[in-house]
Amino acid sequence: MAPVPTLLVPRVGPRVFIRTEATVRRLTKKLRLHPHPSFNLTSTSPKGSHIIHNPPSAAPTPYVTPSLFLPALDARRKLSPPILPAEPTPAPTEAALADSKPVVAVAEKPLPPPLSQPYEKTYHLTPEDFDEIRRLRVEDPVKWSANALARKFNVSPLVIGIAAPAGAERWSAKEKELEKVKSRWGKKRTLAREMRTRRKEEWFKGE
Amino acid sequence: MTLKRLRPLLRLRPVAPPSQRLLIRSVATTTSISTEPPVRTTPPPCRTPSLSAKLPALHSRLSLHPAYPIETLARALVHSSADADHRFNNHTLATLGDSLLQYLVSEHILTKFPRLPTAIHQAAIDAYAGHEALDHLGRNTWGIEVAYAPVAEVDAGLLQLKRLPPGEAPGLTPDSGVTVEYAMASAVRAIIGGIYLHEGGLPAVRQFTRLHILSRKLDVEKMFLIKKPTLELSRLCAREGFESPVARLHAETGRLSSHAVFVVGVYSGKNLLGEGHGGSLQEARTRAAVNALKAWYLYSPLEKDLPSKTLEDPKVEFKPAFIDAGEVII
Repeated sequence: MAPVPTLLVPRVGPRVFIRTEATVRRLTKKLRLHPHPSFNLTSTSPKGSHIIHNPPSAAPTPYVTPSLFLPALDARRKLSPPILPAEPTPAPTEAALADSKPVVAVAEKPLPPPLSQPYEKTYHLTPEDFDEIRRLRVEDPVKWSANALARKFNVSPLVIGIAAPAGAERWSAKEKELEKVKSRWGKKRTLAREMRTRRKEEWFKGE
Repeated sequence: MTLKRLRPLLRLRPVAPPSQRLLIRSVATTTSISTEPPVRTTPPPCRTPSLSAKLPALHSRLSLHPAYPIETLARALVHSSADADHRFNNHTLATLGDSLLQYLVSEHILTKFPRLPTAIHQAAIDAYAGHEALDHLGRNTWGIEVAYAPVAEVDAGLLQLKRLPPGEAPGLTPDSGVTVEYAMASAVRAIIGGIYLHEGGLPAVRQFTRLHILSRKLDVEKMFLIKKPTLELSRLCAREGFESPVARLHAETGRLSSHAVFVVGVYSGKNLLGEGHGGSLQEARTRAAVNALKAWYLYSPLEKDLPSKTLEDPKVEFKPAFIDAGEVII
C-alpha cells in the first residue's frame, strides 16, 4: 500500500495569526508620525514660555460670527474686517496721474470654484408675458408644466410657481400619481425612502 | 417551597404604599378638601411646618437666607389643587415667581443672542424656565419629594397636590387635579417668589436665578430648523445689502464613488459666510447655508448689559442692548 502523501493530511490545531517582524515594522512605521510643524521651535518662535494653539481639525462652529455679519460697531470687526466690494472711484485728474507712483499689483488668492456659474437676474418678463403664462397654465396644465413654461420663457421654474401656481386639481392629480407609484414599492424600497427623508431632515437642522 | 416559586404569589398580594394607607384611614377627616373649604384663618394644623424635618433640609440645600421663613417654604409646596384657599396655597407666590423668572430669563437670552428668531427665543425661555425644566430642577436637583395625596397626616415638607387621574387631560381649573410636573414647576416658581419677598427683592432673585436656572447649559444651536435655507440666506443678503451668496467647492473626495464627501463654502463676494459638508453637492450646499444662517442668528455682542440692573440702581451706567431688523421673512 502506497504511503499517503503528507500534503493531504489535515492540519491539527487552530490556525493562529503569527505577527512577523515585517508586519510589526510596517505598523510601527505607519504610527510613527512626525510632530506638527507648529510644535517645532524655530528661530522665530517666542523665547519665553508660550502656548502652542494647534487645535485638531473640526467643522466650524456657528457661534463664531463671520466678520461680514458683525454689526458696524462691534470691536471684532476691526480684527478681521470684511472684504467689501470696491466703490467706483472717480477718474483721476491729470495732476494726480503725474504724481502717482506705479501701482504694484498684489496677487490675490483666487476664490474656490463655484458649484454653478453665478448669473445676474435679468427681469425680462413683461406683464403680457405673465398673462400669457397664466393663460397657458390654465389652458393645459399637463402640457404646460412649470418646467415647460420655464424653458419657453427662459426663467426658473420657481418664477412660474409664483406667477401661475398649479391649481388644486393638478396638485391632487400629481399626488394620486405619486401614491400609485408608491403603492408598487416593496418593503425595502419604502424603508430606504423613509430613511432618506429622515436623513434629509437633518440637513435643515444642521445636525 | 423555594423563593422562586413563592414570587408570583407575593406579587399578587396588593401592598399599598404608606401614603396610600394614610389616605384610606383618613378619608373621613379630609372629605372637605376638594369641596368648598370652610372659612379658616390659619393653615390646617396637619401641615405644621415646625414638625417637618424636610423643610429645614430643603432650606439649607438651597442656601436660602435665614430671613426666609420655613412657613413660606411650606406654603410654596402646597399647590392650589390641594388647598383651594389662596391664603394657604402657593398660587400667588408662583405667579410672582413666574413673572420674575420669565423676565430674567428672557432678558438673558435677548442680550446674549439678540438676533434669535421669536420662535426659538420662546423655545429657549421654555427650555430654561418651562414646566419640564423647572420640574426637573425641583425633583432631581433640589430633591423635593411628592406626597401621594394631600391628606391630614402628610409631612409639610412634601409637595402636595391632587393628582390628575390617569388618562385625563388637565382642565382649566386645578379642581380636577394636576400633573406632578405642573405642580412641581409651580413649587419652584413659588420658592423663587418667596426669595423676592423675604431676601431683599430683585438682586437676590437675580443671583438665585443665575445660580440655579441660567447656569444650566442650553445649546441654542441645536434648536434651529430652517426650512428653506438657501432662499432665506439670499433674502438676508439682499436685505442687508451684501452681495448675493454663491456656493463654492472647498474640497471633495470620491465624487464617482458611493461614499463621496464634499465640502462647500457659501460666499458673499469674497467673504466666507458658512461651510458645510455632505455626501452630495446639494447636501453640502444646504448645510453651508444653514450654518451661515445660524451664524447670523447666533451673533452675540461682546458687552452684554442687563436692563434689570437699572431697576436696582437707576443711576448706574447702562449700555442699551443691540437691536437690528429682526428675523428674515421669506
